[in-house]
Amino acid sequence: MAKRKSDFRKMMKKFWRNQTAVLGVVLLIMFVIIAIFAPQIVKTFSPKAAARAYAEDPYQMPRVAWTSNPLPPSKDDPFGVIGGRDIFYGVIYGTRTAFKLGLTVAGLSALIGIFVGSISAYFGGWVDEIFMRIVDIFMSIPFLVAAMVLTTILGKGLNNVMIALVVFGWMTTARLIRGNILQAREEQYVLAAKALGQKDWLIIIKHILPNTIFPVVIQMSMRMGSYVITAAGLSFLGVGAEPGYADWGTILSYSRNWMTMLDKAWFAIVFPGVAMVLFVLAWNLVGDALRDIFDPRMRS
Amino acid sequence: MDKKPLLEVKGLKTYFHTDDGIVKAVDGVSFEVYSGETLGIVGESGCGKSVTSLSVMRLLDEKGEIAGGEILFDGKDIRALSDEEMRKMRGNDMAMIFQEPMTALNPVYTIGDQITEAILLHQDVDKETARKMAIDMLRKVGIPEPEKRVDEYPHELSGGMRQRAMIAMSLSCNPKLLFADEPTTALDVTIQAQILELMLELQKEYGMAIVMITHDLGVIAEMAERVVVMYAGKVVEYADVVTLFKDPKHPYTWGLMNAIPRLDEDKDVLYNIPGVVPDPLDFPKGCRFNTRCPLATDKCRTEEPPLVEIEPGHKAACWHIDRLVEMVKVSRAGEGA
Amino acid sequence: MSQSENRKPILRVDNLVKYFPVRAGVFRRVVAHVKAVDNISLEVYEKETLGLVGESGCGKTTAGMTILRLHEPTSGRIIMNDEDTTHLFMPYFQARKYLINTYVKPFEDLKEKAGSVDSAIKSIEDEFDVKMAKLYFEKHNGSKSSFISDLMSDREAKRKAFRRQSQIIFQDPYSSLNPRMRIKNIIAEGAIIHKVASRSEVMARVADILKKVGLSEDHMSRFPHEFSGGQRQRIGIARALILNPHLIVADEAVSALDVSIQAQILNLLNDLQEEFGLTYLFIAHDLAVVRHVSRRVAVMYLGKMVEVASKTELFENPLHPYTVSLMSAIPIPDPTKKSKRIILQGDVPSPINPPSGCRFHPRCPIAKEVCAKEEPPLQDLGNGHKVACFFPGEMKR
Repeated sequence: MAKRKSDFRKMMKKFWRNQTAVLGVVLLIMFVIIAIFAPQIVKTFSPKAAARAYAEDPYQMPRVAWTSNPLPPSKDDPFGVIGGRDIFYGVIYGTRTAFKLGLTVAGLSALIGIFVGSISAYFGGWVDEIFMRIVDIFMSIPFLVAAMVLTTILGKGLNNVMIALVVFGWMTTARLIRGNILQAREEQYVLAAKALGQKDWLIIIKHILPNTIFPVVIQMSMRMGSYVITAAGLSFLGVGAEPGYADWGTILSYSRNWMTMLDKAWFAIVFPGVAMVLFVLAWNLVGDALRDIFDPRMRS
Repeated sequence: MDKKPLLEVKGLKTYFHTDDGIVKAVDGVSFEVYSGETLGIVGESGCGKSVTSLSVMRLLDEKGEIAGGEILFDGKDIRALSDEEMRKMRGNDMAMIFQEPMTALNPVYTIGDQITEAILLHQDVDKETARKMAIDMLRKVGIPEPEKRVDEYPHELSGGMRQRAMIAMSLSCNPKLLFADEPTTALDVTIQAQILELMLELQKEYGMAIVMITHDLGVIAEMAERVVVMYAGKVVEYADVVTLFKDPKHPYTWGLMNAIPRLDEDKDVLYNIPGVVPDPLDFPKGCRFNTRCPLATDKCRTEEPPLVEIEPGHKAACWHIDRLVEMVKVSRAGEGA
Repeated sequence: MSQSENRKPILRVDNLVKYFPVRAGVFRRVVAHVKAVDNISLEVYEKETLGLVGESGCGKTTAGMTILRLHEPTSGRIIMNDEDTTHLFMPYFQARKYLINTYVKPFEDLKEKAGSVDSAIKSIEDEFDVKMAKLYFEKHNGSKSSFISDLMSDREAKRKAFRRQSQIIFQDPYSSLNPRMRIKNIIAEGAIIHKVASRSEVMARVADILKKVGLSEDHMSRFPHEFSGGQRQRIGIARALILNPHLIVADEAVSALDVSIQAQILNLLNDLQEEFGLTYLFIAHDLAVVRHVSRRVAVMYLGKMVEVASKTELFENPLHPYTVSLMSAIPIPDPTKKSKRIILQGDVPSPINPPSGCRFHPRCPIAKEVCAKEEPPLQDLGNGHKVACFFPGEMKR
């Protein structure tokens, strides 16, 4: 027994041997670095834009030109200019926006999902029925359409986008947690805790949740990318972040008017587009790898 | 016993390549099976008894590999056969039944479909005949109303009935050798009695040889004529059933027999085989039982005892066969864990 | 036998019933019941082991779990250490209703019939009921509300006491330990819930108990997956022992273990029983194991108790045809003793729709007409040997 490597080390070994997982982690670390050092990066590579940034709100892309025509990449504006805004600045600060949005939405919807799912599974009976029917109703509305309608009602702005995404994003977690709890409730260690006289809510916190939370973490990481894409979609359609907000979707929305002349505005699509694709890819690869590792069927 | 064996396994080695290293699940196992007899393979979980049968059937998964030894079936070397030849052999010459028939039967096909398929694969008959044969087979294994049951799905049958269906399927092509891997372990005792009885009857009728793999010494005593005792991938003792139960020579065999509670007599204390089965990644040097054996000496810890014939037809792998009497004293002392 | 009569039962179960609803359809309507345990009574005496044996689906595990209130009983009474514990785990109004229906109403009826309180009490045969009647008539002067509020007081404390006194050991050493907790925390949990000692004292006790079950202090900070099946079962036993319980329900505690490990655990359970004066309700399907550990044995079939007797009596003189065939079905590990078997036909019927009359009659080799019509009562044939059969002893091995 003693010679067996610890589970954790075994998992890490497995993780690092998985090349796509490593790629995902590397990409993710890169994005984290970009987000943390955004001011420095902008100052180094696009000093003109950095100088014009709004001190009170760095998330506003600075105006560097007073023409609505796109300007191709140049020394001052490495990724070009669209709508008078510096694309480089937008892409770099957009990384921060993406993290903010992804983590907040994934975190909040997971919390709500865990709460609803736990209550539903724990009380069972009609409480469960009602909650699950609510979930069904929410799930029957197409995500993008629902989010669009809600942001239209709430008005523009990143916060409203996040609210809309959370409101229509918690259901899968709720279902997942409920299912897992119903399964874990039959485990004998849960019965053992009950036989010891443990309080019901402590049984959930100590025995059930720790054994059901991993799938949620994996799901969170997988959905992180899709939230960012949806938010970008909303921005592109004009119901997302305010114009000028440093957000990949917002930059894309500027290129809407140049759709037929892509040779003139390609940079406004390619740079935020690539950033977005890599960001989503990173989360999906990490999520995939986590699932492989934590899936008990993969362990023997 | 001087006739030629139906199956001859010589020095079989089966290794599994895992993340943690090489697991030598079967490490130099030899035995023979004669036509029409029942050979019992007994041992605890992880001793390699199931892997042995899977190796002979060549049904190992991609991590497992036969690393050495010979498997002769009717004189033919099974390891040299092509996959296609091997496929023909399975079902036709040798078949297998498992502990949990639910996992061995396909849940989306009816019982009849699955038996018919097996028949069509190996016999030159039309579909209608095959179905009739399937119904006949189901009747033979004691499934009531076989004309109706033939169209039922595995989940509609009880555990005992599923095992009967599994037996019907594996015997549908009249194999010469049947591996039964813990066929009654998942069943209740009254159902186990039915299935064991059925296997004995079918053996009388069809004359196939059975390799009975189990951890249950009671089932072995009931069914087997000769017995292989396995421990940690090795054969530790090999004898006919009466000799083995009356006069076990290996400390492990002796320990097992004295560790089980008996229905027909009271025992004050059960013999404690101390410790646990060794890690298959890290078997002890010398005799693999030495970590749990009260008779173990330095020799046992360094040199591996060979499987030697003590008397005709009775082999054991132990350096201290003459000291086995001491085991009785150890157990009388009621030694703790 | 006569000895058991003198001893006090630590656990007494009267007419225990546990039905599980089967729901179907959009409105999750109850369409049937799984009659897992259908009116069984038993007693477990102090420091003895009662073996509860039967095949899968006979309700033995459900009985054990219901006694420990891991399932709420459908009806029946569970008395532990001379205290009725049935109402402790019920919701308030159900508990009240139970107390009224079990005690207040019958006592009042008796009083009316007998004319006076004294003769009413005298007419009660059961010792425990006499105690309750005295409590009702004498301490509370026949006041319903005062009687009920007395029994309903301190329910939380009584529940906790019940949990301390009774523990369980599970079958599956893999599912019975929380994979994300360290061994010391798994074992200490009970002691911490019941605040029996300070944390450092609890940990000292955990170390002590680990040694008692044959593990060492070094194991305390490890996780369950680092142990083998037998070691995990030892940890499960340690968890049950930490609260110094009187009664331990061992639910197929050795069924999942290898033969050599099974012997270790059986010997350990035996040693612990002697050391701590434990009482076991030992639930198992393996008659040989039950014979080895038990002083008395109860045999269940399809939710019913079919036979109860002392071990020697049961194994030497089994009276119920089911017990006889069960014993005959088990292969004896001795090739010279190949006996002819009684092979029971068919499968165990479904507990959703059990057969009429005696539930064993469709498979019984000696069943007669009456067996399909009437249900045989569990009668005492002397020496504490009880059997539920119209023709006890007529089937021989």
